[in-house]
Amino acid sequence: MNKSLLKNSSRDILNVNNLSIQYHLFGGEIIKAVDDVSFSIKEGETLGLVGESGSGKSTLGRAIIKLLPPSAKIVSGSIIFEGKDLVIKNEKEMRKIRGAKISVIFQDPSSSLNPTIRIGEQIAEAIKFHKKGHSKNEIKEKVIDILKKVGIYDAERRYSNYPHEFSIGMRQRIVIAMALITNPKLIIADEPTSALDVSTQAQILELMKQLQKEFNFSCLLITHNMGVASEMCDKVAIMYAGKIVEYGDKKTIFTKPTHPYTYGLTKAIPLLHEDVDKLYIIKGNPADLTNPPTGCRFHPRCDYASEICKERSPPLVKSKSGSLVACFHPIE
Amino acid sequence: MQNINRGFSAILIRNLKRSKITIFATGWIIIILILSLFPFIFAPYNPNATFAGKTNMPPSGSFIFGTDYVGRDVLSQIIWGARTSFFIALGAVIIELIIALPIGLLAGYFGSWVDQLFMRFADAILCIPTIVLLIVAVTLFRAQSEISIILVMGLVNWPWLAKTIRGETLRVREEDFVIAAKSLGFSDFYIIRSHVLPNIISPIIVISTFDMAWFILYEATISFIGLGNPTIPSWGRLLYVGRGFLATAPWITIFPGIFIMLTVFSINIFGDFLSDMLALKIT
Repeated sequence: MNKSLLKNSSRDILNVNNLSIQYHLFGGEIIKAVDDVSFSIKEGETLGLVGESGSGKSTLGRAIIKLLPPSAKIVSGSIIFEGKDLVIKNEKEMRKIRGAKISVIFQDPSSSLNPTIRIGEQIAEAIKFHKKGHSKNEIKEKVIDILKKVGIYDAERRYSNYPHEFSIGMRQRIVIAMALITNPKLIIADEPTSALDVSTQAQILELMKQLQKEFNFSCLLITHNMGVASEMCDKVAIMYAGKIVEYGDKKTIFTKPTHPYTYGLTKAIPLLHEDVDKLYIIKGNPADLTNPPTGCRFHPRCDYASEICKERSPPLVKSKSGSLVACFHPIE
Repeated sequence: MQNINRGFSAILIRNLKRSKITIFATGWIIIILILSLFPFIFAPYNPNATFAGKTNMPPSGSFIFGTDYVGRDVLSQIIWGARTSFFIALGAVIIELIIALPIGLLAGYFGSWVDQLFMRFADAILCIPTIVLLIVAVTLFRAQSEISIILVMGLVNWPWLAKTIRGETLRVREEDFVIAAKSLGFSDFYIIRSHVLPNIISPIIVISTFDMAWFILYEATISFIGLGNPTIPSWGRLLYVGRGFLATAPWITIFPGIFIMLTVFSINIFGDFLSDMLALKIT
């Protein structure tokens, strides 16, 4: 099995190895939300984690900062960040990493800002907490500086406004400022533009790209939007039902998809320069994770499925296009 | 934009003007507050001074609300009684908050066994009937009946407040900004203090206000059945001494009765107004 893409290298900021996460439901049911997932992110690189609702991508994002809901448990695997395994770290050690070295940008800026705290003070909280020893004026200068960098006009005055006095797009800029103020190594962006309208989306994505050049952070971008992934990412991992089905460079994934699921996703993107009557759809429904299909989890929806797909789970191997693919019958 | 920058107090006053009944209630509360803070300025006589030969005098120029059966000025007793009622109610609310705030916040924020422990304890306290415990306490500690009333009301009534605080905390705990605060590495204590508490302060203020009305009534009830401290003037004590003379000297009971009614009514109206305004501030 060729693992060149998965091989840990010294420039990696994050290595997730064979990570499995389960939800234990009240009735005793177990959901394998993330099953044996591995990927890595290099310094300054953006990895897109693409999948439909319930594919485990957000669970995976939460697991990296170990803020899973109480019903979810990491059952196996490791999360190596800066050479240290986060899985075995306790809550106190994790607090020093969260916000300082790994920050999260959440989906909905209208609810991820505290309505009762002025935005300047809200951004300043993270420095006060993680980088002690700054004077009040120094902190305020830093906050105003970052507000300007994320494109808030008149930052000195806006410093003491409440979140409800900003538009949704501006609030997402503030959320980004909050995440960046401590200069973290890794940003986990969980659907950062899904709550925004299309024109604002483009602005926020452009801003994130520009900030990434300036601050040189790595980014794990969780999205269900193929357009966003193709715009932002260096590498893309496609998730289906808790497993990575295809993983590789953005260009390879989008131009030469080899997994039938990836193929379906790329075919389902509406194209402006082609006249299409009906968009391609992937038949069936997302897999029920309390009782996942045997073998390859995609086989009930797959046009290429054969007997072996029902019996055995395909390993992630190198395809002819250069990506890693988990399929017995990759498209060539 | 202009509206927002005008500040909360400006919005408050503008909305206050819209309802005459709220203006009246607020005004009445302010009057009672001033009376209770400075009774020595406004009371014409010492509330416990007896005027020989002037028992059960009807309202007149020198005794505006009349006198009671031992010749004490009713108006002076009402003014000093406002202080008794107000301080007992405030004391009980403070005790209630001291207990209910940490219990409600911790139970709501941490959930699981912390929640179970505190809430079952609260349920156990709820089984105690307030009025019966009040009677027992003031009978045992007659000389410190105000302190007893404050303690008992605070110690018995906190579970209602704690349960509300817990419920609100549960709601806020699931908000994205609390999860965002966790993702920034803040400690639980800091998140509770800076992110949860400011977002649940409105219901706490409103419930505390309503509770004050209840506590004023409780104090009056205890004094009315003759278990209050007989040396301290209170509205309930006036009702107690006047109940034997309802037919011959009704002014002894009518005026304190009006004060109790208007005060409890005003606090409730004001509490409603507050809850509307605080809801407005958040959205």
